[in-house]
Amino acid sequence: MLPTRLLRLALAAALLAPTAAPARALAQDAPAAAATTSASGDSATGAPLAAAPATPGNASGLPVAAGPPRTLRAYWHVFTAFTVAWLLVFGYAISLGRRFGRLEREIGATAGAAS
Amino acid sequence: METTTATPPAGYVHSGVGSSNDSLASTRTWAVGLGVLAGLAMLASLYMVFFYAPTEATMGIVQRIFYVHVPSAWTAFMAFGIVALCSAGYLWLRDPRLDAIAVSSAELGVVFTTIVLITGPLWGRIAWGAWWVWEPRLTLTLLLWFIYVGYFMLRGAAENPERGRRFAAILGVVGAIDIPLIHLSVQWWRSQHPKPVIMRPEGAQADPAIVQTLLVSLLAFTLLFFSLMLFRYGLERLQTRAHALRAAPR
Repeated sequence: MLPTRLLRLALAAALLAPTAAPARALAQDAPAAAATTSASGDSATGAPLAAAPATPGNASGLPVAAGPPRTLRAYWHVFTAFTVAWLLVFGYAISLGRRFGRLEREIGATAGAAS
Repeated sequence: METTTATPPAGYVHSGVGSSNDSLASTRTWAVGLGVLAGLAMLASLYMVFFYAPTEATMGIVQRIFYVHVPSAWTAFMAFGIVALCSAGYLWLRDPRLDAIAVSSAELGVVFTTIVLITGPLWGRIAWGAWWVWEPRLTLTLLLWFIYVGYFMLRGAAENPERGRRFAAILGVVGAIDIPLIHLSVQWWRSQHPKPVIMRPEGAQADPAIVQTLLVSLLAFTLLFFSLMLFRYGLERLQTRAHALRAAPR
């Protein structure tokens, strides 16, 4: 009886697992969807950019979840945006330095050969 | 540096661009000075973006992308404005220094427009739920990027370098018409892109800390642009000098 019960539990877990993943994904996307909804009418279309109210504290001293939706994905996007911008600028500066070096060597060699 | 002390060989023709070692050295000094200022301003701006500016009420943390996206757009527009002015000047006066400034500025304009086109979708994915929307401002900005990539292709493709410079200058002037179109697109057409919150007739409508942070970021990006542009201009002059040395009779 025990193996049959275990088999049933495993089968139930296997059936539930695929539904759990999209549910998690939906839960993650929900704040983004909420932001989209509010964005269509507020700041994302140019209304004043207002600061979020300071996070209120509760009796335990721990911050209470309030203000704009906070998702890990939003933090990743901010991180990626700044990283990409800086990589492009530094990459460009490095390419300038390399081109400078190459030309200086070329000019040095040509001037040396001519003199 | 080696370059600034290199002596042109006999027969070297002074051609306007790349004719003076002293002015090349002073260009480099200015570029380094501005680069140091830009670095300090960037540090101040990063501090303000992450520790001073408040989190925006509706969009949350993702709004901070605004502090890199907007200054990049401003810098790109300024760069292409300089390209248009110098290209018009080149077409009129045929002064190679104006063409050197135009090409230096165009290259940086493409770099900063690339930043705009990457950071915008990163914001849009969170705020709109889509990486890209074919709406007027985004489409015109992409078009601007293609125009100035075409500027370099045109320069490179011409067999006669002088003709390539001339055609590129015409494209540099005509392409800049896209800039006011981008700016006004959110007012002229139904656009999903946020409308200006700082540069509006009735004044800035944003939290003062957000405005201050944006202004410091704008300053930092502007200084960075001029520093890199001077370096690139120096490179252009060095390139002209190398061409002149290659062409000089031995």
